[in-house]
Amino acid sequence: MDPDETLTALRGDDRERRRQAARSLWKTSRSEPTRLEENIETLRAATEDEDPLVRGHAVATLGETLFGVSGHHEPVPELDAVLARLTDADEVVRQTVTGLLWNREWWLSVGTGDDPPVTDEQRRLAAVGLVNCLDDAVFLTRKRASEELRPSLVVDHPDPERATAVVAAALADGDAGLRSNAAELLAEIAEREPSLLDPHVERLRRTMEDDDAVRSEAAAGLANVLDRFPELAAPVAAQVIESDSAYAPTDAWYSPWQRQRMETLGTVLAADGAFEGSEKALSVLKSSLADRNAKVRMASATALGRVAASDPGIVEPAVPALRERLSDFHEWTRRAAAGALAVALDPDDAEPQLVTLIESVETTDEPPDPWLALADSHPEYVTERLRKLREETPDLAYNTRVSIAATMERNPAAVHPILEDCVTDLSGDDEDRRNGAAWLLGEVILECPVEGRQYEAAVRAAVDRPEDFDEYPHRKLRKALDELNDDD
Amino acid sequence: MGADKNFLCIEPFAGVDPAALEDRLFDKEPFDEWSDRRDETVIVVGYGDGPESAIAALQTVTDAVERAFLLHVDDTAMVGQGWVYEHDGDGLVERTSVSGAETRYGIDVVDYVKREFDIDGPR
Repeated sequence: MDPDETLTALRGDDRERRRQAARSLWKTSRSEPTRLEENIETLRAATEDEDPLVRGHAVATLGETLFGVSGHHEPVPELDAVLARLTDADEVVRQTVTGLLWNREWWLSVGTGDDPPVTDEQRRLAAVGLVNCLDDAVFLTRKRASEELRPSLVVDHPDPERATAVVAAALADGDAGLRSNAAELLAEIAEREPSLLDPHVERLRRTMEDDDAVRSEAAAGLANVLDRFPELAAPVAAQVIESDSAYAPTDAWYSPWQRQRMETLGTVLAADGAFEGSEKALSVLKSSLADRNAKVRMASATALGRVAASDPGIVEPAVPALRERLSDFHEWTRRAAAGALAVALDPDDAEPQLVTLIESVETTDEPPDPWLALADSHPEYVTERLRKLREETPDLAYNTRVSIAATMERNPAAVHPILEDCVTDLSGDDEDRRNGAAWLLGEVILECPVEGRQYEAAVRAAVDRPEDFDEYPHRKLRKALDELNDDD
Repeated sequence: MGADKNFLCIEPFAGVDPAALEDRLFDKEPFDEWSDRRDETVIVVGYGDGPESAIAALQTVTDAVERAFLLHVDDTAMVGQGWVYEHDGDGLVERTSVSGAETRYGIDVVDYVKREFDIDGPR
């Protein structure tokens, strides 16, 4: 169909020509967006056509056109017409709209702290529409709705109790992924509005006990209502503890799954630190501080911080392990450990460096990196932490090297002993330590050339022995030497 | 394994055993990633650079296929393109295609095919 005819045909009386026009518009909408943007009203009207195929193509074209407009700074009123089709009488039109919401930047920020310009009416249409789609006869529509629905939309739904009931009913869906999405959604709803979960606690408990695919999400949801259902603390914690071996450490799902376990255990212990099995729960959190995955260590430390905020005495057995995390190579694990120790320790009993750390945590919105917080007041303590780290992990990752360089900038006295160790290692027998020393020394010199100048001779000698290093650490040393020479 | 995925969704002729059709395709190049059945539709999925090998594989089972929808997705660019085939008595003929030059998501191609042909896609 001629491009100039399509928009006219879309407004005509001939249904077959309207279908043809709508089809043609969709097929070329991505390569001709400007023409469509100028005729948004024609497209919008077509989303209300009596023919479902015309409505489907029109809403698909309208949605892609509107979402394709970059930089939404003002609300886009025409999106109402798109969202309204979530409750269309035709199942294929409903499916089309759920597809339009998938992975669109506008939709991804709805219901988060970065809400784009969204009107209250659009939020209402999205909430009502997606809850409706979660109950759809078509599996694909239900599945997409379960992925796209936000907990804030359920909580702010015109009838949040009914909306939550629809989510809870999805726990019985035949698809494990959909059930998992529903359980996760319930857990998030319970974080915002715990009372909404109350009518569904028994169902969630049965899910936790019987459904392999979703028991950890179900446990996470129940953990949020323990203040009203304290008898659930023991079975929720037991489920989390028993579910340890779901994924191998190298599996991509290991980290998010373990972090959820840690978060749930932390929530349970924070609600009730004395239930039957609480010692075992604390033991799991404590041992996870040594997990090979940095984000799991961070989650464990964060969870222990929440427990300590509720009752510092519960966390006492984990304090030595938390102190070890102050040497962690992962900055956010260090910070989480600092935050937990600040709440767990009694300043009247703690060593001076930890008192300083507690004070610094109390004066900031989020816990600082303990290396930076203590570099000025307790440089020897920081040196000790860095030395311990290098003993455990001679080959430090880029982010860790940058943190050490930042510590050097704060107080060189804390880091110079480490660089002197690196100089020794450059000539040592251990290949890993030579390469690790080259990386670290090179990185710090590049960031702090003035302080790094005293190592120029050692770096030059190492550069002259390329056979002793791998290619990239040797290249880092050469760059450091160039930096020092440029500074001359 | 490339960054491209091929999803082949097949409606077999009445009387064709969907499980047998699935066996003929799954775990052979290029459909060695996963397979599924939704009602009578057989879905086989695999990685591959470009749709050519997927189209060639489809041609090996024309005797059993009444209609087919091939979705090719470049996961890096997040662009989908699709082809719908129908059996005309002699073999499979292409009924429509959605070009990758239109740079749209695979999910939008899936929904277009559903609207026009009522064939279920993979996602």
